[in-house]
Amino acid sequence: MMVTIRIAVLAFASLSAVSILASDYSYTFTTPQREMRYQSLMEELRCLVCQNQSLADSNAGLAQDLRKKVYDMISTGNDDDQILDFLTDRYGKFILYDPKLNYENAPLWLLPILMICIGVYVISRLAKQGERSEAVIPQSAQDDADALVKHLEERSKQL
Amino acid sequence: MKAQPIIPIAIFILLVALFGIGLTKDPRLIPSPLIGEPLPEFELSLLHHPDDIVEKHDLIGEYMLLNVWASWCVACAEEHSLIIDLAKQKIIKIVGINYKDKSSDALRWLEEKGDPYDSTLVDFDGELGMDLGVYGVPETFLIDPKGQVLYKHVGPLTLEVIENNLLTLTRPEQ
Repeated sequence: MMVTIRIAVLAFASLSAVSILASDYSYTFTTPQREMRYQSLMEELRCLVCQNQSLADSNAGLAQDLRKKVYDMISTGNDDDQILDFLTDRYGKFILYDPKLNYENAPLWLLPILMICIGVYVISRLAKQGERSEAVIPQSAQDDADALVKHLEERSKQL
Repeated sequence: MKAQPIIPIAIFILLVALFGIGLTKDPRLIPSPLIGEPLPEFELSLLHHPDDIVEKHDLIGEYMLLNVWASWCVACAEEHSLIIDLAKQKIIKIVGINYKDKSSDALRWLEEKGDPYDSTLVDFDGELGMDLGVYGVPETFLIDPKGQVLYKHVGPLTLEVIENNLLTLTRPEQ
């Protein structure tokens, strides 16, 4: 009985121990969840040396160090917030590709909403102007139109 | 309704001005979150005396420059003569941090180019570098007597930076 449990545990452990191949290290994670967290953190962290690459893409020495740091922090049980705090305390919010809303970046987040509001306002004003110009059709043109409608109605009755 | 070209033109000029200002800024300069914060704790050995361990409280107590450098770093050689000149004036303590370097290479480099540092600490695995948010050597930090970071310069030092950004901060306000 004990032996089968042991075999089952071993089999499960070998299945769940997933390793990923980076260019510098081959990291082994104890659970697939940890590996997924590692992968997604790599994608959302910027390499500061080569600024348009994420940590996952970069081969810079600093990126290798930061990958190792993130791996170590995940392995010792830190959650994502602790890891991101650790990095932003040292390198600033610039390291985040997806920064959270704060006072500094609020204009960037709010500008699109403001633009939509301005757009809605402009369109509604144009629409109102359209209504108003409808109201000032010259009387002669209105008379002509009325006469035409009357004429057409009579024609349709005759048919 | 008459067309009003003034508003679109004004918006256009505003955007051009905004982008123009953006172009004059260097995207490589990242504001350091360390300014105004205490220098991180560390325990590092000395380059010239590998058996001696130096901690943060051994160094602080006066204004000092922390210069992060490496023998493999080309820009470090560029600023080195300026640091030697500054050291000769003896107006501020200059501490070197040898970042991710082989100690033998670092010692040879200092022998060839001159050693302006009061002491040089060995940060072989870049741990202090990470705590300092170093992303491109050379980097230079100005530390006040209480151990607070006052200023950080990324890239080779220039005479203007030394005078206008570093030394002025060490002088009492008139």
